[in-house]
Amino acid sequence: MIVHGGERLEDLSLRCDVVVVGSGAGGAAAARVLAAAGAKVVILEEGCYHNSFDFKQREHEMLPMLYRDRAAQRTRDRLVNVLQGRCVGGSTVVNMADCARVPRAVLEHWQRHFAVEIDAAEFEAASERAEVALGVAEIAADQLNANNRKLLAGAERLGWRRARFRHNRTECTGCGFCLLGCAFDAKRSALVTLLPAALADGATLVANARVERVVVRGGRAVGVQGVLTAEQGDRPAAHARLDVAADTVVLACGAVHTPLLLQASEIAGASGQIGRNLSLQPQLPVLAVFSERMVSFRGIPQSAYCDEHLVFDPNVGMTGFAIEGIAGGPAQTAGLVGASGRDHKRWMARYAHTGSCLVLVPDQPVGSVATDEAGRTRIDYALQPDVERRIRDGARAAARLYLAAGAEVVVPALRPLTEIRSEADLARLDDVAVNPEATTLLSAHPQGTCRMGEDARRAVVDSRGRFHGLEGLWIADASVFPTSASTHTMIPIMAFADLAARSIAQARAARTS
Amino acid sequence: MLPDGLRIDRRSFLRGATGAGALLAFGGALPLGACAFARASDPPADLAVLSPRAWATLACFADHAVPRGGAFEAGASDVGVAGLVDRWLAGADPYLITDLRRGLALLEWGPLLLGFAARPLTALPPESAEAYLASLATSRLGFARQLHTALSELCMLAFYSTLSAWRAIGYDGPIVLGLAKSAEWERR
Repeated sequence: MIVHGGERLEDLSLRCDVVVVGSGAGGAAAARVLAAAGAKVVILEEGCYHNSFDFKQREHEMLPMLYRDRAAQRTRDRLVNVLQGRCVGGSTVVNMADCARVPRAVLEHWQRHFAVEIDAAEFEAASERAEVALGVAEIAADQLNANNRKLLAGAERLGWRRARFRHNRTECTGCGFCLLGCAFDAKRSALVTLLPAALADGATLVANARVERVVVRGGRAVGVQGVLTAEQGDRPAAHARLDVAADTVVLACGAVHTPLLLQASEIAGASGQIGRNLSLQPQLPVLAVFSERMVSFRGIPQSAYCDEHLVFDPNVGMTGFAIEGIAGGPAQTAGLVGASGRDHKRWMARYAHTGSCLVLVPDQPVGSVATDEAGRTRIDYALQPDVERRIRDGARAAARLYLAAGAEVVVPALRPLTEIRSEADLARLDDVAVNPEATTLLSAHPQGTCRMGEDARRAVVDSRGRFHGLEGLWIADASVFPTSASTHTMIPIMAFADLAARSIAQARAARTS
Repeated sequence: MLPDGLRIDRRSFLRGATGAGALLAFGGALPLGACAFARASDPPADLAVLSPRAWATLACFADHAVPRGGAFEAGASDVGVAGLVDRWLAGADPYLITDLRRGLALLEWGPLLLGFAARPLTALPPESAEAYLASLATSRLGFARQLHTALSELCMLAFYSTLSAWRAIGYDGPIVLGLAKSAEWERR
């Protein structure tokens, strides 16, 4: 059953076995497992329920409808644009559908340095289940668009390691609007896979349900309270109270908002780590213009990558950088060109000849989230010198790659515009600043604000997501990852949520028996 | 990726806004609309979040960010970018709107605050307005550069969401519902 909170004007009180806050990758995966195990599940989603009939492929309409803060959420210094879905299905509705598991070296890093006790084989099995549920397969060679073919060709000429992504699309039309929700349901997001499965097993989904606090009684989480809100607006008005009593509370609001909900609920734990250790995995866009028409806005936007410079180290986790194909609509692309006036128009006139990629830089967990005195979300993130260096290295590598593929000119998304027309120009990137006045970095994979581990003095939850020090409270989203889990986090989140949900189901079964 | 960054450095802004507040007191008496677009057009009657002056300021900036001519003819004034931005921001976080209003006030009174000219932006002759706005992009003041960037991105978002821009850059648009729906956005 779906309750449209935006249309319901009366207060809503529910009683269930498990309440799941958030319907994205983590919430949907946990709800599916728990509903299948026979638990009475209620899923609460702050955003609105939209389906493929609503996905109109227009940036100015879809960004406010599907993204938190109309895709304008930023770090406090304005350097990083933190993209998160805010709709039923969460970021799985608007992501690039890339599926990458947690590398073994990253898991070993967590085991060695963060006292994480997850069996590698068990995590692989959970990842496999997630991939089966989403229909994951490698992108076929004939599905690559010109931009991604150029990326692979450039990497091949340079002798760099490269591959096609695995993805969760079936019967993709190649329309190219993945970032704006799939109008054809070809993207197998949580909206069309895990959530319908949970609903079929009896779960209740409440949309436009903003949870304000976790209710704690007798040293145990016993439910949540919040409001039902209007459907429109970035800060929709509340029109009714929401009260859900539950034996178990699962938080899956993502790495930015799960810690904020804990803080609002005055749940601190012993670690002092709630809201800390944020990784953003920043990405720098790089554009390249070719003499031939590329039409990069059609086809699967992100289907190939070059991971020649990506390093998996059991001592530091994931480091180096990766280069991944990408494409945005004209409005999003226009914002990346570091020029104005007629200079900018000169570039946009060649939009159909433009290819683009992202330099993805795994970072260390140095950021934090909190709510400021005005009630606004505050994301603090200081770009570390090592990350800044790797962003520059990545920009140079991306430029080399596109030049090797035949690009006339390459420009990283930096101000002032820095044009690279030959290898001799690469030195221009040696000293470019990476700061809020010079660029906007993107982050689609915030992680790590409620990190896991068996040591309650250092970790917020245990290796299964069970909150240290408070019974009945679990976390099942990217906030549990101690460092960057993977280059793409949907499958890692779903795998972790799957394991957490199985542990909850086992605990419930043990109590019942 | 998207227009934001409208929260320019608060301390720097407040320094500037202190002066701007005093100027606003007599600013209403100054001639409005010397800048090219503001001269040619009246503000839409149904502005959602911007005042007529803020709309005029944004219209001047939009003319600078996406001028007519160059690689293709269409420019911000052809599609009414300032009005599109106003409509796009209806329903936005109130803090974002407040920051935009403050940023536009600073932009309007910046020529006086920065010693560039003895008139606000919308009262400057077109050549002076363009010189002033271009100077912000390379200003020594970080908040001035951030303001220029944030407003540019906002104008780009609005302009490149229109059929006129799509035709000019060879983008054939959304597949669902066809282009008629897109024309509505531009026409409204």
